[in-house]
Formats: sequence, C-alpha cells, structure tokens
Amino acid sequence: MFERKRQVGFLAGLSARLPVGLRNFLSLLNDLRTRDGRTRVAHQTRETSWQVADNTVRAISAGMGIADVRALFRGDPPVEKPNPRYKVFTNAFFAHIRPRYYEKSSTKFTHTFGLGFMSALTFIVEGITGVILMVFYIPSQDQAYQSMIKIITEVPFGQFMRDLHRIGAELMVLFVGLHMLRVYLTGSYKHPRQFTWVTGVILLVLTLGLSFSGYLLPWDQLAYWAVTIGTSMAKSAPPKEIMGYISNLLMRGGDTIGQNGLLRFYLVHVILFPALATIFISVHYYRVSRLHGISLPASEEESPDPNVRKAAKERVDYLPDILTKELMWIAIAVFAMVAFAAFAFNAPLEHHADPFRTPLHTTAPWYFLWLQGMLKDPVLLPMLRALRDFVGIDLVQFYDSPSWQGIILPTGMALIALAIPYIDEWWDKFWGRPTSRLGKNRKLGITMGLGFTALLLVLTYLGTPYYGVTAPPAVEIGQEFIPEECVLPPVPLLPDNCGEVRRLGYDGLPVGTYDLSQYATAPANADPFQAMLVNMQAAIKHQAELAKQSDKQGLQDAQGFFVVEDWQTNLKKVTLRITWTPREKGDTGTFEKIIYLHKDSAYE
Amino acid sequence: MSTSLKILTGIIFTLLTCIPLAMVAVSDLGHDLGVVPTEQPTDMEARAKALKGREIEVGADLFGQYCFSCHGKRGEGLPGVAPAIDRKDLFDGRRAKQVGWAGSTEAFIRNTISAGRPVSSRPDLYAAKMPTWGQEYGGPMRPDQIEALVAFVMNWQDQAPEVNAWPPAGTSLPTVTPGPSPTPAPAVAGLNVLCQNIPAQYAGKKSPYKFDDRAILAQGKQIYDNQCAACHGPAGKGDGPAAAALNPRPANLTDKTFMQGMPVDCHFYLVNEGVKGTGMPPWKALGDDNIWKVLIYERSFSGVQ
Amino acid sequence: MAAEAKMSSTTIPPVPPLTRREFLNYAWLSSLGFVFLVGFGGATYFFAFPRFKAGEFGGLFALGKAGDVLPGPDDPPKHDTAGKFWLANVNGTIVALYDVCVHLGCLYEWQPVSGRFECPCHGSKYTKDGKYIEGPAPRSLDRMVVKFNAGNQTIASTDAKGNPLPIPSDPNVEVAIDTGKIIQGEPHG
Repeated sequence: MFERKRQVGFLAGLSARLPVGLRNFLSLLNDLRTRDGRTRVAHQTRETSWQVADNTVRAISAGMGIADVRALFRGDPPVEKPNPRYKVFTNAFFAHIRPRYYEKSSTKFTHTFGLGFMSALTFIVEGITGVILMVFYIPSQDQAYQSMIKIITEVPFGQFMRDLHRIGAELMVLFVGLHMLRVYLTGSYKHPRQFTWVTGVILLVLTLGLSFSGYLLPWDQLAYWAVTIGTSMAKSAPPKEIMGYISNLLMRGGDTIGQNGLLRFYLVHVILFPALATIFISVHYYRVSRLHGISLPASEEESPDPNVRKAAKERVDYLPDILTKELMWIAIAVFAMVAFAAFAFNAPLEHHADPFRTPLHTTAPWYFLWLQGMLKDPVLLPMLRALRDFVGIDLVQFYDSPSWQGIILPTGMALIALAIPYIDEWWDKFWGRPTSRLGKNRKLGITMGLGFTALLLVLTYLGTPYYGVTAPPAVEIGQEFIPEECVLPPVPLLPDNCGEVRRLGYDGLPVGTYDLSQYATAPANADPFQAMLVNMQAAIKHQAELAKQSDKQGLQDAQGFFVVEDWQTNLKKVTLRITWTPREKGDTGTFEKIIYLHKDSAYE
Repeated sequence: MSTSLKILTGIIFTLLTCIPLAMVAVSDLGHDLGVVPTEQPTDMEARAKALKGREIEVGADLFGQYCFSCHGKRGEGLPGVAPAIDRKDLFDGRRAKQVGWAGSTEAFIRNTISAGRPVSSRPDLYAAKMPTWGQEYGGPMRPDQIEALVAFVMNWQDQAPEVNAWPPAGTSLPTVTPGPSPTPAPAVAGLNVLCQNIPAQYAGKKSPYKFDDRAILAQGKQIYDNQCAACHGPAGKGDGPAAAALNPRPANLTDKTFMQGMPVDCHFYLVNEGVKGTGMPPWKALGDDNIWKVLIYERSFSGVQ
Repeated sequence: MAAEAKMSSTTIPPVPPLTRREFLNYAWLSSLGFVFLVGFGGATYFFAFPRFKAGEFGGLFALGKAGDVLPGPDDPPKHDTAGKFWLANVNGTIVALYDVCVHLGCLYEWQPVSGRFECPCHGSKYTKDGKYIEGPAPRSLDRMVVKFNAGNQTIASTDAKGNPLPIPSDPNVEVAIDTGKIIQGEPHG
C-alpha cells in the first residue's frame, strides 16, 4: 500500500515536471484512444484554429475579427459591439490619419469635386515616378542631358515614366489651383478653418516650387532659360544690393546657372521641397480630416438665422463606403494618367542647354505664364509714363519693373492669399454682421475671387510669345517657319510647334532653289511643300504690304528664297533667305536662317 | 451610385490600366518579347535614331560655324591648309594608323577635335595646326558639342569616296606654301596683262543677268559662300580664313580700282580658267550659268559693273 | 463686489512671479533658438554661398592691339563670351556692354537686320551703344570699363559714368576690358 502510493506519487511528480505542452500532447494522445475522445479533439482543434485565425485577422485588420471583415465586404452592418470598424482608426497608423466617417452632405461630388483628394494622389504619383527616375538621372551638367537621353532611348518604360512624372506635375498644379478656387468660392476657409487655408497656400507655393525646381533638371534649352529668367527675378528682390544679390547667388550657386545651380535645384527638388510638402500636407490633412472635417455645403450648414448652425444629418462611414469610392477614383485616375502618358503625350526634350545662346521666344511653363505676362509690364509702366507725361509727376525714375512685377507684387499676392480668412473675418466684424458662407451673403468676395481668376487668365495670355515680344519682321518669319527649338506650346495639350519646315522633314523637302515670288498663288493640286512655300510667300508679302502703308513697319520690296541642298549622307541643308531694300543705316537688308535636317530626326 | 457599381467600375479601370502598360511594354520591349519583327524598330530604337539624327544636325550647325573655314564647307578640305575629312582613309583607320593611333576611328576624331594637334602631323601637306576645341583642354566647346561634331563627321563614313586626303609620307599633294611675306592684292598691272590677253572665246562676253537682279544675287551668294568665301572672305575683302596661307593673297573684290581694271568678260575668264601662279583654281566645272551668278554677286561688293 | 472679483478671476488670471526654473527654461529655449537659427543657419549660408576665384569672369581681359581687335564704325559689335561683353564702335568711340539683359538675365543678341540689340525673352530693345529703346527693361544696358594701355601706362579709360571712350588714333595701343566693374545703365525716363 505504502509502496503503491509512493509509486503514484512518483508518476504524478514526473507528470507535474513535464512541460505543459508535452503534457497536453500526451493527454491528447490519450483522448485519441476513444471514439468520444476523438470527437472532442476534433471539436477542440477546430475551435482553437478558428481562434488563431480570428486573432490573426484582428491583428492585421487592427481590430476587426473574421466575422466583421466579412460583414465589411458583404456590406452588412458591423457584427460586434462596440463597432469594431472604429477600433481600426485608433489602432492602425494609416487608418488613424483618415476620418472614421464623413458627414454625408460633405461627400457630394459637386461640393468638393474631389480636388483635394486628386492633389494628394498626384503628389504620391510624383513621389513614386520621381524615385524611379532617380535611378538613372545624374545631376551633373555634363551628364544630365545624356542621362535623359539614356532614360528615353535605353531604359524600357523610361519615356513612359518621364511622361507620367510630367503629367502628374502639371495635373498637380492644376488640381491644387482649382482646389484653392473651390475652397474660396464655397467659403470653406472661414472660421474655424482659417489656419487650414494658410497651410493650403503654403502648399500651393511648394507645389509651384516643386514644378519649377524640376523644370531645370533635363538640362535642355527650355529648362535652362526658363530657370534663368526665374532666378533673375530673385536677383531683383529688394533691396537689390543685399537680398537680390544674395538670393540669386544662393540659388544659382554662381554667376550663372552651372554645375552648382543644377545640383542645388536637384536637391531642392528631391529632398527639401518634398520633405516640406510632406510636413505641410500632414498638418493640412490632419486639420481637414480629424479636426474639423470637410466643410459642409453652406446651404446645408447655415439656417436662415445666422446664429444657429444646423447639425449634420447623416454620416457615411469610411469603412467600407468611402474607401470603396476612393479606390474607384484611384483606379480611374491612374488609368487616365497612364493612358494619356502612353498614347497622347511625350515629355519634350529640346537641344542641350547652351549658356551662350538664348532661344527666341523663351516661355515659362504654362502655370508661370501669368508671371511672365506681368514681367512684360503691360499696365503699371505705361500708367506711370502717362502720369509723367501728362500730369508731370515723375515716378518712373523710382520704378524698377522686374523688382515690382517679379517680386513685390507676387509676394504681396501670396501674403494677401495667406491673410484672406483673417481679412474676411475682420471685414464681417467691421460691418457688424455674422460670418456667412452663403454665396448670396458674399457677393463682393466671390466677385473679387472670380475677377482675380480672370485677371490671371488675361495675364497668362499676355505671358505667351503672341504678345509683346516682337523681333524684326524677317526674324519673326524665320521663327514662324523654322523655330530655333521645337517650341513647347503654352498649354500642355496642344501639339509642339516645330514649324512647317521641320514638320515636312527630310523627305518632304525636295532639293532646289525656290524663288518664293513664284508662289504667290497656290498651284493647282499643290503638295504640302508647295503649300508651305505659298504660306511663306504670303508672310513675306504681308511684310512688303506693311512697308507700303507705313515707313516704319514691314520690309520694303521684300523677296524670299528657299534653298534646299543635299549636304551629307541623309542630311539636307535648308536656307530661308529674305532680302529687302534697307531704309535705315545699320539695316543689312538680308536675313538668312539655316537649319540642317536629318532623315531620322523625326520632329513631331 | 451603388457600391457594387463602384466596385465594378474600379475593376474595369484597373484592368483597363493594363492595356496602355502592355502597349508600352510591346513598343519598348517588342524585340525581347518576340512580338515585334526584328527589322521593325521598337519605340526606344526609333527615339534613339531620331536623337542621333538631331545630334548630327547640331554637329552640322557647329561645323558651319567653326570648322568650314579650314576643312571646307562640306569637309572637302583646303589644299595646303587642312585635310579633307570626308574621305575613306579617315574612316578605314589608315590615317589614324599613320599617327600611331590604336583606338577606334570615332575616338580618334573625338580626341583630335577636343584636344587638337599641338604639332601638325603632316607639315609637308597642311600648314595649319588643328586648334583645341574641347572645354577640358581650354577650347570653347562643351563635351556634348564635341560629341555632336563627331556624330556629324562620322556621318560621312558610308559615302566617303575612295580618295586619299593624306597620302603616305614622301608623296605630297600639290600645295601652295606660304611665302616669307604676304604681298597685298595682286597689282592692277599684272591684271592688265591677263585681261589684255583674253582668249577669243571669252572676249566681249556679256552677262545674261542684270546686275541688280536680287534673285540672281541671292543664288550667287549661295555659290560664293560655298566656294569662294574661304579665300576671298565672306565680304569679299580677300581676308577669308584660308587667305593667310596664300601667296599672293586672294584678290580684294571690294577694291574699286582693281575691279575697274577687270571688265566683266575678263572676270568671267579668270573665274573659268583660274590664275596660274596663284591659289585661284579654275572653276569651269561650275558651269557658265553659275559662274555668271557668282560674278554678279562678286561685283556687287564694289558696285563696279 | 462679488461680480467684480468674479470678472477679474475669469478674464485675467493672477500673474505668478517668474521663478528661477521658468527663467532658466526661457534662457535655454532662446539659446537653442539662437544656436540653430544664427549658428547653423549662418554656417549653412556660408557653406552654400558661392565664392569666386580670381582670373575668371570678374577680372581684367587683355584683348590685344586696338587696330586688330576693335570693330570698325560700320561693323557689327563683337561678342566676347568668356568676358561676357559686347564691344561696339559708335561713331569712333568704343563701349563695352555687359552681355546680360538688365531685365531678367537673358542674353540679348545683335540683330543686324534692324541694327540694334534685342532680347529674345521679353522683347527689350537697345541701340548699338546700349541705350534703352523699348520693352520692360528698367534701364539701359550695363557697361564695363574699357582701358587703352601703352606699355604699362593707361592712356585712356572709361569714366565712372560709362560714357563711350574715343578710340586713340594709334592702332598699336593695347585694349583691356575690366569685367569686374560693371557700371549700371541709366534708368530711362
């Protein structure tokens, strides 16, 4: 008895010393010996594995179990209580920066047009395509252009990535600008969202800065001279001897843009501005999504009694409704951009940057044309001159055009834009009336906003080469038919303007000397080449006519010759020569424009 | 819009995105994927070809600015000044071999343009030394411009005639060596002798064109710039880039007394037959019509008709 | 009385005295701010600010003998890209023009067709001696100092206003351009 008891105690002791897992395993083996036991084991196994699976799903989804995930995808209401879908927003990083729900009326498409969302999406597209392009791009003045050529001729999907990056950049500027206009027109910048507007204006400036700094990187003529003009504006920042001098040298890294300038623009483009933009987008987005929510349409929010605000009526949960919608828009937008990049758009690459030759009709990118328009000074300078000539007050001598039009006025505009919500608030207080976002209560504000937009559009037109930059008539004719570069159009969707001669190309230009006066009228069934000669003659004739009417304009007795010579293997030399009777001393009476056209150099 | 419809739209556009991506894959990588026949270029190849063509154009433009004055408008060279560079012996490596160059012809050309020749390789044939052009050696041109020039010169390769610009050492091209002191333009007296002994077939010839016909002047300028300007200078002053190496110096066509001493028929004769003992070659090959045109243009320098 | 006390307590809380800890914290924060803004900011500024070596653009460009290098009265102006200037002969006097448009830094070109300098970017136009004709430029073209030297002696030099310098009759005097002193063009009326 004693012995036996001791024996049991030994086994029990042994069993107690075994690791728990092994003990469970042994008891499981024991259970498997009976039918009931086997049923029990099977049931337990199912139970445990479901538990494991459910826990895993909860860990991954940051709060939702299997049943809830399925309910989410099925479109059923949440299964557990409290709502596990909201748990996700406290547990997961990427969900916590999104709102748990939107007010239903703020999700109306015609209220926001999804412009802020698209701005953010294009920023992400720029980040991804930009990093991919960095794989091959070399920020060196001797190799940058070569690396661009490598990207488009040796790297599969290279031209495609460039196009996508370029389209994304242009769309980003477009979306950010329209977003700002929408926010202004719906009065969404008003209390309590004033500071959100301020971060938005900063983001607009950063967006333009990102576009501008990226503009230099291909290191072609287009890039080099657009950026030279831009940095020259900094040169006239007042006081010129200090601010202008310093900021210009800091940006260019030297007297002109060279290796230093390129590297600086590159670093600003890939590190400084993206980092700043990320920070400000975070602040901006936090305030929109977590702090105040997207503004409701004013008509929904405001009641006839201005002191009573209507509460939101209905919510739309982010999971799953908003997420589904956002994914749909991402799919549509990505398709649109990819298709446009693949089929309809080629990011241009002009000739290698030449610091010693400024091409005629250098244009800023379309979103800076308004600034270029201001720089031509179409209003203020003539006004000041009129003031001096007719009234006798001479302000012209104190007036520095680039400094005012390039720095002081744009900076003033940016500062006013920053202060709009606060000015607005003060204005309402000044008149002693409650703040209102309704259009009918902000007639002045909306008129000013639309007026300013119209002004920008007019200035944009003035910024194009069609206005104000007139070279001598013969040079203009040369530029029209044989531009120095394949000129980028002021608006991205238009085709590149390479001039008719380049468009006809090597094969379209038969060798010979053509006296243009014989092409005064189009011959019957003229081929494209003859049609071009007819156009040229018309342009020259026009100048000759002008000369008859006035003694200042035009070209007296102008005559044109068009010469095509075989020059080398697959290379033709094309000369446009215009002669006229000179009227002034110093006028040579001849103009000659020469280009060489290679058989393969498909200009499109 | 119902959720199902949104999901469907999303799926459709996600799948649609694959189409342009596949198109780009085919157009860029068609050869690797085996879906584009080898003789048809892929988009990448087409772009490379186009950019090569444009590089040659840039090179031609640079050549027209910097190189033509010694190597000729079309690389045909200038006797006594600089060799032709459109000939076979440059491209098949014979010329590179003569200076002991072991690398490729392209590298030889690039190096020669960029670094120049501190010492003339064939002083017996060509008087001028190749200056340095590359920025890295103190010249005016950026690396990409040198590359463009190389591309332009290499473009002669396929049609280079089988003529040596640079025969083996010992044999020499007929050349005019610069004398001790260049004399001014040929004296009117010498000209008078030539013009008085004008052959019968030229005597009394009249120009078929008017002297103020602008069309003719323009065509004449074309020929003049191509054929005559290297010696007689772009403005006819006899100060062309090649003039320094010539003795006697080329005629100054703006000199009124000189031009008055040379009536139209004599002028026509001298251009046709050349002037023996000077660098002026016979230009008969141009044809009467072209010579008349260039003559009209040349006489417009001085206004003497 | 009670209302008054209530108002004072709700609008302006009583001001506690500055403690040592509080003062030290302010001092620390402001010193941090000083080090980051002035110290590192200044260091970055000097790091990034370009410095010029002697002998590049900004120095004296000796061109050679006046008879060889100066353009004639009817010749178009000559461009020197290394020295960044145009040499123009205006009725027997010489000016050296800084080759950058005073508007926004594009390189203007001599247009033989119209006999004037024209900027391709925004259309400013100037006469042969750099005087403003039309366009958005605020002043006439900037000039550089032209010097005529005989041996080691400077016999003539552009004055402080940048007026055109008469060309000496002796064609053997040496011409030099001082690219370091850029004389601003006169603002136009």
